[in-house]
Amino acid sequence: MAGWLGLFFLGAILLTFGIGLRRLPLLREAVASSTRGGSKALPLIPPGTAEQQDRVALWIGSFAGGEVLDAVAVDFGSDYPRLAYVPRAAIDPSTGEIDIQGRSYRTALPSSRPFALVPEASVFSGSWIWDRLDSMDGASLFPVFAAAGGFLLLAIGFRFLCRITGWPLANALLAAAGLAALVALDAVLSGSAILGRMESLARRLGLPLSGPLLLAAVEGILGLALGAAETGAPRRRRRPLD
Amino acid sequence: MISGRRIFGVAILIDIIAFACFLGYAMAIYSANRIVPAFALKWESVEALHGFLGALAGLQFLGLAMALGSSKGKAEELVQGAIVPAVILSAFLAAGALMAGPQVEATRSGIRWASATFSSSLDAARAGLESGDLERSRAELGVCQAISRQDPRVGELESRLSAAELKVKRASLPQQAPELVQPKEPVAAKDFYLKALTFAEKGDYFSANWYASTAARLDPSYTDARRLAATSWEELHSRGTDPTDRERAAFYSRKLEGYGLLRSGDPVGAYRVFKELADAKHADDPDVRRYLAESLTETEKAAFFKDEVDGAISYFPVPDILFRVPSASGAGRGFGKAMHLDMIAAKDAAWSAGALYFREFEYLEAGGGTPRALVRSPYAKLTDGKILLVCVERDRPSNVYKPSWSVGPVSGPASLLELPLVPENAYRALASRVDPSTLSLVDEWKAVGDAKSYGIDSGPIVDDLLARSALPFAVFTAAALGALAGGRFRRRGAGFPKGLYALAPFMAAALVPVFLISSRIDVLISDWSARIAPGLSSLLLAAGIRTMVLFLAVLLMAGARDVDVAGVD
Repeated sequence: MAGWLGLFFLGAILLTFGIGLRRLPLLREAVASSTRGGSKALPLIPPGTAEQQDRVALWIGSFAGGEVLDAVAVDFGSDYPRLAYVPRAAIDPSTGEIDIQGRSYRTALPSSRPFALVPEASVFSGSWIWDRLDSMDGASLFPVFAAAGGFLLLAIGFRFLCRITGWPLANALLAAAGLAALVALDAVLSGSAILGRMESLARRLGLPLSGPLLLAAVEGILGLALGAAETGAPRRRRRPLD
Repeated sequence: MISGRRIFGVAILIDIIAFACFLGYAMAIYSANRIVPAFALKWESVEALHGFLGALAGLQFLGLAMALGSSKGKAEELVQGAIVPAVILSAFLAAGALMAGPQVEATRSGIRWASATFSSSLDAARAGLESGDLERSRAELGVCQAISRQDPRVGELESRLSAAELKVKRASLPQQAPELVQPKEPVAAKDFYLKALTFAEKGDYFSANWYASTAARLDPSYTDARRLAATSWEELHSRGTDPTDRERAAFYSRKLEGYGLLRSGDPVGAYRVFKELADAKHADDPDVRRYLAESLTETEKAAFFKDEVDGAISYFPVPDILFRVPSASGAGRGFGKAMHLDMIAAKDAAWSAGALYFREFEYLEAGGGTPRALVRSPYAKLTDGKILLVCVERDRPSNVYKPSWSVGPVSGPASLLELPLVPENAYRALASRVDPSTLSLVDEWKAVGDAKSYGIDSGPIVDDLLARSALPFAVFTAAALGALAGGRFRRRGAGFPKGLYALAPFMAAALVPVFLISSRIDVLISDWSARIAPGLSSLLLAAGIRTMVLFLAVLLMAGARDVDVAGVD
């Protein structure tokens, strides 16, 4: 029980610190200004290098003022022959496009997609816990703490994996996998279909809960139940060191 | 102290089991609609190897962790004893993966491309047959046959197509080809007539007949020639009661025609004639044999055969070709100086036997804002410094694919381009853009420079180099962390129940999310390095970061001690 409480308080401190930090006006302003950015010019394809976007390749000799000199374009999706050439073409300043033999081609590089450590939760209809907490930045503190608290209780509920087998190495690996499973479970539960069913069940039971609060309650109860089961299970005798 | 043999044994056993699992999975998901059956076993093997090499770091972690985690002894002793075997094993596996990786990737890509080409060509051949476009159907079927002649779908289509071709041939038989009206060439006709006279005087009426007939063809009003042709023909008949004389004369006439074409600088035409003669039961004739070989050699200098293209394209064609012709010094030809521009575009390109083959080839040469040469050819072949633009079907030499010039040529013959291109370098630069992992490390390193001179984006090549250079670091770091985890989380007390080994599949499965997250972090290191230090310097930066991570893992490993505290047990 002491271990469970210790983990709970440690987790609560970390979450409170994280949520508080996110709400610091100074930090919020810094994040907002970095995402706003300035009015950046369109990044143009490097001259002398063929750049392909989808099935259209464009090679530009050089840029001079608002024009390109020597541009060759090939649309590999069109019928043969495909090669088009223009010795000089003006760049449309609003779109960054040039006209080669009656067709427009983009001289701007496509914007690179931001790298995410964890892929988008596209397999679930729900979203990752950190994305949900992000979206609640402007909300009042109560639902934020409720969502974080529910997740924390569910996470501690998974502690049983640390003692599930008689081989500590297997337990360590299963616990690490459990962490991923916990995050995935949370994302699944937050999906509109499952959350909708939970809400209709809550209404039938007369519970005044919906949305993030209901999800937090379900996760909290599930975590507490797992914790209780683990506390009630017989402890394996700890072996001495070799 | 743990023995090295135990570490090697456990790690290699895990590697073998993992490879077997990958092979089983590849066999289970194999589909004949996606991969041509002729490549099935090869495909499954390389798929299994691909998966195995991709998971190598994770397997190394698992192997070391299980070997130490099931051992007896103090943590520090176990970990210290694992250092030498772990280093040897990691070095061996990392080196093996770096060497085998490109071959595996090249084979995978080749099979994938060949299968995709096979499917699309088979569909096109069927569509051509249905719509009555037998020529197109035959061409597409030729591609399929180059990839997998034994495939039952090819055999079935071949018989249907042959039947359709036969039907068309029969239908066209009664129609006589209109006789071509030859322009009058009195001078040449006289030369032929004089030769005919000489042969007639020597009693060689075959030659006399052929030369006289040719003279009469060149100048139909040349009555002497017609007369001589008739008298020499009569002479042949009067002397030879052999009914095969007429056949012999025709054969001789064709032979001379082929010889004339060869000497007049038309090796393709000569090849066509001698190939027809060889196919018409005259393959044993020494002249036919000799001049067929000679015309073949000459044809190969001025043109190339379509089956060469089909064969090359069936194995890993690089699609969507657009590049600048570099100068001999490596930079773009005159680029930035006199605005001289040489660009090559093609539907795809493929490498075979030291040459690079293109389909739907286009070449543009511009100077001072004006196109100076623009040529298009259905097929092209790049050999050292020359791009051949004329393509012939070996079995049906009458089918010749010729270039069409919209502008030019500036200089030289219209059947070829002379450009400072080395096929190997051009292919390396082109292939590295699409699938750099198929190149060896040395070739990939060279490809970065090639890509720049060919006006090709070198970004994907550098990205792949970053990913490949991560492998040795990942394997060594995984080994260190595996040893650390095994030593720290081993089962305490005397004895290790054998039944616990049954947990191994669950441990492997549990490792998957951790491995995936670690791989993403590794990609992140490459991504940041490429953004901070563009080009090849990003390799140094990434190597520096990974060395620090490895150093940290080794420090942790070296500091492993037994601690009797609550935790995972």
